[in-house]
Amino acid sequence: MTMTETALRATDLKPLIGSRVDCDIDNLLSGRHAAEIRTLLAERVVLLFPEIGMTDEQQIAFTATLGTPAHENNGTVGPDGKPQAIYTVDAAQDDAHAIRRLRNNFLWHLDGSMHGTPILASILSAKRVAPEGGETEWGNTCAALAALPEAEQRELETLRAVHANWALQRHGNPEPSYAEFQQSRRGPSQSRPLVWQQASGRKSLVVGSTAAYVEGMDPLDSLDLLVRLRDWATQPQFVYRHEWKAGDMVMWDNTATLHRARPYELNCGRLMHRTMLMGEEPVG
Amino acid sequence: MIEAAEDLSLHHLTPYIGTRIEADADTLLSGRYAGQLRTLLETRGVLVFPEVGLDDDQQVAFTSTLGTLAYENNGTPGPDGKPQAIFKVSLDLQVTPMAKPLQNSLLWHLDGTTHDVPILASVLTARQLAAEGGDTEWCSTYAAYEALPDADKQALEGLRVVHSNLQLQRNINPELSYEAFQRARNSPSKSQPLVWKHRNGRKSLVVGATAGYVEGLPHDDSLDLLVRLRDWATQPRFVCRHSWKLGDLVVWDNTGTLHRALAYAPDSGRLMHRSMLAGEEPVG
Repeated sequence: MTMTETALRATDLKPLIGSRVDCDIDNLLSGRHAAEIRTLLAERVVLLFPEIGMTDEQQIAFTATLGTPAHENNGTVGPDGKPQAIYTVDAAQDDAHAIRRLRNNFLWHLDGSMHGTPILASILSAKRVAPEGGETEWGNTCAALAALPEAEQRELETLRAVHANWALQRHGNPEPSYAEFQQSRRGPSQSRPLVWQQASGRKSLVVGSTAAYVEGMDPLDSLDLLVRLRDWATQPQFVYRHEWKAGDMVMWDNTATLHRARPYELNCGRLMHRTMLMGEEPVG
Repeated sequence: MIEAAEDLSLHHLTPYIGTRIEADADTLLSGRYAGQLRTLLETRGVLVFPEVGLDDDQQVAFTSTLGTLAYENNGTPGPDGKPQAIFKVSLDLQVTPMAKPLQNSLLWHLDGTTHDVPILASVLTARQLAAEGGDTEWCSTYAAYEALPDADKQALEGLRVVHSNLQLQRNINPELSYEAFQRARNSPSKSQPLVWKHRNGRKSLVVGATAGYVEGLPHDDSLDLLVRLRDWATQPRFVCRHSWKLGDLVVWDNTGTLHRALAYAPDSGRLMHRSMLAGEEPVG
């Protein structure tokens, strides 16, 4: 059997979410499995490459085989003046803003819900793991939607939610100063359909910590629905929880999942390197 | 400023709020100054009796000289089968099962906003101190209202705010399970005027950690107004802060103030004994 004929070996992690992919770095970097990986990602939404131990350069190259790499923060530049291809999620933080940003990851969310087109996928490599906590969890929002009664799905398809920075910031600080609140209110905000009807025919729920309210709904009913759907989508049968080992790499479909990190101590050493793929369709 | 008013020696702590009163236990228990103290309570908001060292029975007796004693949990019998006049305020679960909800005591609030008639006043004795932190702050919501521009005062006329236990739950946990959310949604909640027109002719702001939303306003404008007014009311000129000494007794007008404790460690030992005066008028 030649290399080109090598198929990916994929094993389900949970019935409704997650596959473990066994493949060596050379094969992944060659791009010959790229299409297969994209198909698998769409089906399984979370792919684990256990202890593969890619370097930054390898991770960047691998990411580029799968789509258009996205730079962090919509193209803001790093200390070297260049757009950052690798973003570090580092537990070593000392300023309040960075700590809040880190802790926002402890709540269920998808990335880019407040910005134009959310990213397609994230790829995260564990460089150092937390001695305690720091697991990552993903919930399959396609499977969760599909498991709702048909009539309810149709109903949800008619609704829109506003995803706003001020709602996210409020979670981290229930008592902001007015200046802080005004700043957060000037931040990004987007109205999204509650159900993302994707070009492929897939549908996913768009909820999580950035969801401020459902348009046109009474405040309590709005909150009720948002809490219920987030709780529904994060039930154990839809969730894969990963306990990191150094060198693990996980890729996830940001358009079909919510994710969160479990709490860990600041400065515990946990260090992750992330790359991303640009979104290919607006939430519609 | 020191005034001699009969035997009571008064020292105003700030222009708008807070007066220190040197008086011994016998003087307070005699009830001789009850009328004067009630007047001071309304005009000064917070009365500090340094190191007077009342025991529980004395504290209850003193409280009763000022009005109608209110019992905890609407008079639900405690472990001894009697209504509880003294409540132990502690963040330590070993001391009180209420430790977790009391995390909200670190946020600006007034008591009883979900009841028809909020309590008139609270009386607190410092029984054990935190080595670090644990000061209490009060702000005058009378003074804060009176200092608002006229245009603001007019704009606030007629507005109503829903205060709820749900909001308190969300302050502590931004990611409630749906079950916890439903429980909280079914727990006490009450719509109150944003501006309290007291029988004494003065007006005060009713905001703080229990305020969920302003009725009839868009979600973001509602939060904007609640944050702005709380921030306004708690600016330094309307605030007095007390660093506790053992045995200090403080009485405050719950209807014209917000209060909060500053952070302290749950295992610091800090313990306050609280008694209360029943409310005498609804928020109207």
